[in-house]
Amino acid sequence: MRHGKYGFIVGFLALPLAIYAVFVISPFVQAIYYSFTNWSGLSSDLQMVGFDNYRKLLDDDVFWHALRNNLVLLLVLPLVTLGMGLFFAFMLNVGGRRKGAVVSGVRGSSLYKVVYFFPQVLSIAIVALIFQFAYNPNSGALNSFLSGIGLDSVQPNWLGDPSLALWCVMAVMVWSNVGFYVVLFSAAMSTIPRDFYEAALLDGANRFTTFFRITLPLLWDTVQTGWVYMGILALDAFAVVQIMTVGPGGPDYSTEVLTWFVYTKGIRDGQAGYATALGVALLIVTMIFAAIVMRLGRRERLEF
Amino acid sequence: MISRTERTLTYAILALFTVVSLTPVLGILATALGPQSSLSTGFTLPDDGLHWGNFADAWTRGHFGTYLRNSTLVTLSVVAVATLLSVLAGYAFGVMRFPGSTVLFYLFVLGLALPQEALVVPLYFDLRHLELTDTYWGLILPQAAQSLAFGVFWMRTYFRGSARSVIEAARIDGANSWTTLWRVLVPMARPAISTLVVIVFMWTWNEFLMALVMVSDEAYRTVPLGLAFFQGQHSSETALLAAAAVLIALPVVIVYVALQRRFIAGMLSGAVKE
Repeated sequence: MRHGKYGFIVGFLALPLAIYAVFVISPFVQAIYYSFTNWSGLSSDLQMVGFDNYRKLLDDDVFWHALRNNLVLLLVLPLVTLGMGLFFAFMLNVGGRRKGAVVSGVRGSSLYKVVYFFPQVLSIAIVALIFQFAYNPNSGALNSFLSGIGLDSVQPNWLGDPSLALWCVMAVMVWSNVGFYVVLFSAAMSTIPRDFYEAALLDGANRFTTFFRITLPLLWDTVQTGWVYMGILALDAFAVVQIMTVGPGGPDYSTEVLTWFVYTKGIRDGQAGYATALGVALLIVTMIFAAIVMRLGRRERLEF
Repeated sequence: MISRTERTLTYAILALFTVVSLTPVLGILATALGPQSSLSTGFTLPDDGLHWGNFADAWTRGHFGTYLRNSTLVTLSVVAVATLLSVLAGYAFGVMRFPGSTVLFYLFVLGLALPQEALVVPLYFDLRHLELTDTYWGLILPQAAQSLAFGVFWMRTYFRGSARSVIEAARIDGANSWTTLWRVLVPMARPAISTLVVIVFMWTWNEFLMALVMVSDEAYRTVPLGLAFFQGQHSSETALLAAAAVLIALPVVIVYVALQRRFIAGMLSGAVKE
């Protein structure tokens, strides 16, 4: 039986391409088009308004708040999450000692991994709810803990405090993601040959230098991948902000983020044209971020 | 060599982080079992016994039965559609050679970097125009399409790496592309496919934005959305809310505990190769 080769290719690709074009590519192209219109979304009336939406956006304080918050998240969130992930993974992998081996993992490391990974399986809606309880200034676990250890005078308002709210959001995102990176980095570390460490230790290197001279360079590719993931999460943050923060968007826009702003303008306030311009701005930020990571990450690949 | 103090310190830090990972979860369990009148979200277990009734209450008052059914239906459909189409397209891109394949493939990969929020507004109005909002299709089709970006990429990488000799051998034996794919390659690709299934499952089960935008009718709410709305209505009833959170976390947690190793391995291999 012989079908034409192209007949086959069409058979394999037609359906995936069609669905992808209709539900991903087409809305995306439309977003760019609508960002130059004054479309409300509520009716089919629309006029081309050139760059008006973009000009309006540059004058919009809320946009700058959102962008600032996203950039803070983008800088700090990957750094803290990946740093902690590397730290714990390193401890699990070279923290123990076994007979005959100079370097070995701690006992029960697989159990630790299962526990650390656990927050990752919880839906972000649940995580946000849990922490909303914990941050409650009157009855939450955090303030109860503080008064429990005698710090009755220190009772922060957490999510209600404009200077703390964004950090509270960040802490939640760190909590729910660190475990994933512990396990990810740990898996990558276990492929590094033991004799690398042993040679370094015999040369008198301590654990600190071993980490920076051996482990980190060999893990660089994985760290870079993690950086991209965490960056994408930092630019999103939608669910945590929507469910957990006051407003939502926080007191004084302290937890306003671009994604939440797109949603309020486009779906709630009937400013679809403006919202799509915001979406395009978000896309531009994402692309710049991806380009920077690729650029910085380009190093010689170490083979072993 | 590692000194005794250093080792003790290592274990102390690891233990501390274990506590940090588990405390919030234990806290919500304790809250869920507390009396409904209590505002406490602390960690003290109630002194008048455990209030198991909270679970039943949250279940009936929160309509979580409906939400679970919706989530299950949507997630299973998305996983099935996305996996099937990813295998087909991944095979075409990975094994066949045709003009335009590179451009088309990059079009799919581009989807990995597109923020969902950049396209959600036009998508919403498109679907409303097609009268697909407030339907299961309105949840299934966009999420399946978005999962294709990763799925096609993932399966193409797999098929490209899988031994060309296997495909050649099958061809010499007279198998056409279709039989080669389903009889030879797919059975071999089981680990790669199960990774894809785990990842798409987790994404879809937890998806919040799409569900929030595409559905306003309560009958089609999924679990994460249902919880958020339940929270809006019962914000002061912490025990009920906590019970609801525990209930809806349970299915995934059970799967996780039962399959921990495969589950973790699945999610990780998706990350490493990307």
